[in-house]
Amino acid sequence: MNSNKFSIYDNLFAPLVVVDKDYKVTYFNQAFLVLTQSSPRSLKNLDRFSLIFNESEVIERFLKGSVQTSEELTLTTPSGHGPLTLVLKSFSVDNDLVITFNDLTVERTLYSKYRVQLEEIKRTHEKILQTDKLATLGELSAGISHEINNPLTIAYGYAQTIEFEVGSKDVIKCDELKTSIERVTSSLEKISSIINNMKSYVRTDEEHKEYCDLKDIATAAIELTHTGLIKETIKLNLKAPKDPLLVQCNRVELEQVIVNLLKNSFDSLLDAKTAAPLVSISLSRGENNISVTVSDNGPGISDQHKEMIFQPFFTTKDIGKGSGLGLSISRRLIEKHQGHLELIDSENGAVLKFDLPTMEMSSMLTSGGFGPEIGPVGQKKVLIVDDEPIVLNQLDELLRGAGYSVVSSTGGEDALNLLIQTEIDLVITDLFMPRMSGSDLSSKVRMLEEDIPIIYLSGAPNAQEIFEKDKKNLVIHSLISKPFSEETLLSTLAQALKVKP
Amino acid sequence: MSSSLLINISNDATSTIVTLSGRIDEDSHFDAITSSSADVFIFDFENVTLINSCGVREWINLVNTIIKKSKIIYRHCPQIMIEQMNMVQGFLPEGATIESFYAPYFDPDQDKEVKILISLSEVTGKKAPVKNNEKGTELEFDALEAQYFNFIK
Repeated sequence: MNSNKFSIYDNLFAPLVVVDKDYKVTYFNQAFLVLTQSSPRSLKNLDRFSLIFNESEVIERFLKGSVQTSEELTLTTPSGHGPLTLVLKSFSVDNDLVITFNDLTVERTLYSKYRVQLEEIKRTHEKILQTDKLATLGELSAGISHEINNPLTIAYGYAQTIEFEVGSKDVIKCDELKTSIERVTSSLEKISSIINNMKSYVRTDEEHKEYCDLKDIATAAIELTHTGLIKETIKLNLKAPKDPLLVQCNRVELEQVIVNLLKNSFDSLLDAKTAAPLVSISLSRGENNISVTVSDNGPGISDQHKEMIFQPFFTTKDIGKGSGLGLSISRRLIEKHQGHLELIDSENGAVLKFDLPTMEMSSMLTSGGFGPEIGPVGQKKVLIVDDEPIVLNQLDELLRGAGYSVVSSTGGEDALNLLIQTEIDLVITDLFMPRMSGSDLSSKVRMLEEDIPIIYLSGAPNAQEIFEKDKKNLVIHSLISKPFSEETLLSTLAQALKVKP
Repeated sequence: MSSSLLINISNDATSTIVTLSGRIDEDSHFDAITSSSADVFIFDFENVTLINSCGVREWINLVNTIIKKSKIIYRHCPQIMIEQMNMVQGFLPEGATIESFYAPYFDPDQDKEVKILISLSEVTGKKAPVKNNEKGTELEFDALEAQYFNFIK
């Protein structure tokens, strides 16, 4: 170390080196010695600064380059010290070049280490989820086999009838034969539906989220659980509004939650031998959320257990009947969907309720949150209004894939609220929706936004007629007929937004 | 995460000797030390190979707890520990003493760096004590003296 003008850096915590025009080291501070585990002698004997590291060519490129701050570099010293993760910054002082070092080695090491650990935790969690599902399915298998057996018996019976009729010397009665074949087919379809439901229940696709009707999910969960002896013994009521209850979710995970809640109620009622056992599953829509409540008229949950039911491995069931993971997993799955699962105080039986954000809310969160801007700056934002989950999912996938930011709504006031709360660049709306037609929505949109492009989407025969009528009055840009191709959709959007497709 | 630091605790007539081996880092657990009680703790760092910034934080937390009840002595401190003492307040807590530590020297006969164990009493005025090799050749102190001995109050 020289007793030169740079000695003010002697006690600096940041490692610092000064090199001359030939890149020979003329000054270094103690922090630099510590960083590189070098000795003053070895530094003084160096012909060029870059030789401090094995990766000298990388250092040379930085020194001779035009940038003053390097990328993150991974460097080692000839004595074997490292690897060090460093960012170098340089600035000139007279004819010297001062180089400082930001040592990110610990941060980078911790990041890598904890990332591996998090991945392990995630994999373990997935295994627990899968194990719980398989265990549940195992417990439900007796009931499910009963459900399969019934249509199988029917199909077998009608197949025998067909065999008899075809083999008989009498004239074949076509109507009767057709009826028999139809009954065989419908019975096999029922079996196929049960098998498919089981298959989808054990499917693992943790990251996949789509727009689903919660009523369909609840129905599938009922089909899996309300079977056999349970179906014969316990009455089940499903209460749901007529309109679809769309949520953006992982269908399998929500089905797992509802299966867990229903199964808990059924087990509790059977164990307690409750008279006139009844389970109700009620679905409802609030302003920003959709609620699912599962209640029963069983013994309920005692005060001493109320605090513990969401803890892993807590169970009041007999050994071998339930892992004690169902509710803790369910709560976690609901929280993953930005929702909340809770036990509701009740004097009659157990009541568990979960809330999920409406699809408008969750699609907005996915697209970057509230406020006037959603999604990355410069990305065009499209509002899709449709009441059919299949169409919403298709549009969502296509538009996101093409780089658009997407928010979705089933229509009505919710769609208008989205327009008020966020800055939308374009609206695609279905024409025929239960609460508000596409025309009515467009006319309200025009009161809020004069210039926003609106595109109609419809497969109805009179769609063209409506479009022609609204085209001038409401300044509708175009009509896309269902079914549509990706190319048609994207080129129409590009024209409306005046961007390159 | 399993710790890569081994801690061995033994007792002599007057003190508890804690021998540390390996890395002092974010995974280091000192429960074995905190659960021991002694009037004097002697920490032997002979086999410590690395201490990173997370390890420094953990270490400071440990010694600042111990120093309230016990006397602390550092023994066989390697260069990496001395460097931390010089940079980080609290690494050598008030009242703790250093029995011996390593300092870097250069042996011109062998053309290689060597670490020489020296005791605190050998250092005066933050000047490195003179050391010779087996042939009697004087070794060259291989660090910045004022900086290296800065921990000596």
